[in-house]
Amino acid sequence: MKKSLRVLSLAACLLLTGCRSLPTPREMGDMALLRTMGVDRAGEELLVTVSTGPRAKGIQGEDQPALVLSAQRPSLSGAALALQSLSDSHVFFGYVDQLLLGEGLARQGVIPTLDYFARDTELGLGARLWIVRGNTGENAVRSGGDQGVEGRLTTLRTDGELGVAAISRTAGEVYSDLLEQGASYAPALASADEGEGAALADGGYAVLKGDRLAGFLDGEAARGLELLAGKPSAHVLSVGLPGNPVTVRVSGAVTTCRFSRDGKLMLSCRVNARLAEYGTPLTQGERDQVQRVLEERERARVRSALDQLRSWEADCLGLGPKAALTAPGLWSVLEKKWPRQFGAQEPELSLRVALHD
Amino acid sequence: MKDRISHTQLTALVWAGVLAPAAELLPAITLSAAGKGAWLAPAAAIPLVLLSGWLLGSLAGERGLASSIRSVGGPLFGGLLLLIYIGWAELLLALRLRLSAQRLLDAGNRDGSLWFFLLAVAALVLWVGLGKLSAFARAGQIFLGVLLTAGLVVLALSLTKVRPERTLPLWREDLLSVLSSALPAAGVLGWGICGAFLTGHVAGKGRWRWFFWGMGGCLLLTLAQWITLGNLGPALSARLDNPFFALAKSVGVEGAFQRVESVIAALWTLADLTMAALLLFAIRNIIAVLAPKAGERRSAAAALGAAVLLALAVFPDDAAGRWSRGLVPAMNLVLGILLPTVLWLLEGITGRGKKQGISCGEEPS
Repeated sequence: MKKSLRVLSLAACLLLTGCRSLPTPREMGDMALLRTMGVDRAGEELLVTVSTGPRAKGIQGEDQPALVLSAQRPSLSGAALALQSLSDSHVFFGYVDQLLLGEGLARQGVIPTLDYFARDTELGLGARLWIVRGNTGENAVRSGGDQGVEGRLTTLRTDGELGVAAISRTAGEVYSDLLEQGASYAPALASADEGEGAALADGGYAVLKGDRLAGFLDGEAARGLELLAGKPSAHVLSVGLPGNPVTVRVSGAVTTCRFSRDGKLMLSCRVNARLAEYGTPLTQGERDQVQRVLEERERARVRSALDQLRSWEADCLGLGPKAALTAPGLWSVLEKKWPRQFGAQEPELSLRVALHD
Repeated sequence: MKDRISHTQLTALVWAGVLAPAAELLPAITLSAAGKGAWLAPAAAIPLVLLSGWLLGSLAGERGLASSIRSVGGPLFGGLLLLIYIGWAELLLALRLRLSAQRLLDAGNRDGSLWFFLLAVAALVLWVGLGKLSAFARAGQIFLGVLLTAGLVVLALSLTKVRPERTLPLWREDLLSVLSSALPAAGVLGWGICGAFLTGHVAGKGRWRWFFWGMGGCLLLTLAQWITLGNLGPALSARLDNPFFALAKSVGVEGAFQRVESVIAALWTLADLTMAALLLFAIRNIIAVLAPKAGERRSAAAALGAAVLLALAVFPDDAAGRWSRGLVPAMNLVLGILLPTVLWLLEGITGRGKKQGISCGEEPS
């Protein structure tokens, strides 16, 4: 036994002489930890732009400007490899948590990019996905200047999760939606000006059908989509009662879906709203009036979103599959022709507002 | 004095080991058959798993499966069957070493060499496999605890993102496909059949315990599949090499830890280690019956050496994955259900081996 252990130890020592095959240790200071990736279509090639965000370097952790790199190649993996040669640090993609797709790329197809995120060993499907409206991912990434765009995107994402900005979505959620229901949505980013220093702002929602951009929802339709998704971003509505202007803050919504016996989609939306400002305390009659006005406005928003989505035959919220949970037999018949039926048949909408003090 | 373990320890070893192929292959292997209903495959496999457990346990009795097979089949046929089981265990061992090394290599972003990781895992398996079974069994219980905790953390963090419409509704026409997915699922769980060769070391009370372990394990796997498919959806899961580890990649707690997949992949080496050591102990036990004078430990070291060579030489890059998805589950069903059924019938007809044997659920007198 002892003899065999000695032989084994000797063999291990011999193996260690070829240390080139051991994993290479890397110092954190020698690595460029990428946080944001922008992808655009440039003719037949793909343009990939990455950014690290502000970096801490040295013993005191002094702020270094964000490292922004761009590479253009026929494939994403080729561009990612080319980025490595552009940096004096080891470029690490494992921390990329924001993916910005230019509108041009979104119009030509997003699946190859999302598939790359799914398969790559470093990248992951947990990255937040944004579609850059009317601009390129490169410009959006570079718009952060020395400070990088990461802080702004993180704020937008956090605000989205807290319900005060557009719903944020991961690359995995969008990819899975596209494969399962053939349509999805992602928040859009808009910038007021070109170039560095132009702040990125909420640009509504990009609706994807198949794997391409079908169009954008903004304004009332975007708020309608949020209500249908059950995640309304907090917004205020003013109701001009005679002598008593009232402001109401919409704080939540729950939308349930089901099918009627003849296969018609029935949507039931319950909106929670809170009285934010008023001149004098409301009488019951005034409350009823405010409630009615709110219901009309929110119903119009939901209708606006539904009409747009139906015109694209894009059930990006999965209303049909959700309704199918209560009617499995009916769904087994409807499933294959659902996108067409969604476009053709107007859903029945019932919307109620619960007004709280 | 014989190295004794309890029923609980043996089942813990088997489940800790089976978690390695289960995480790699489920639900990917059942998606083509069951689609949206693939998450139900482990539950559908419960009858097959219990049948296999009962057959192997009935045959093994307190003498161990190797002695019983030799006794039922006779020196010639029984010996041939034991050689088949040894060959299969050897192949599974090689495959497990290879797949484990591959996972470690992937977790490190393909930095380093496959053979480095493979030899490192093999060295650990040798250390465990040459030691006492009782020590390995105690470690196996801890490994199972660690693996279940790690797996449950990933699943719990993913639970809030489950979309029920990804996995439901299922209707009448889905029933047949869900039932048919029981075969590949049982084939994956069949990695644990070699555990039956250790029943000769089991002592103490264990009536029906295997039944609840089998059923509980399958139901836990069903829940895990539901969460995985509810997050990723069947179509995306089918495109991914490994849905469970892809799920681990997308979970994290803001401010605490961003990504956990490397930790999970590293912890899953414990499952590989348990399965590989379990196979090595099974080989040791079969050799002890086939060639009592050969020396258990020496033959185990030789078997591991052969498995390492096999892993390095026989499986090119994607062959290990292909074998693991195709041939292995099918052969596991043959060796875990079909062959034991034949032996059980043979035992009933000839009456050979009955006197010494007891069924899995019975206590030794």
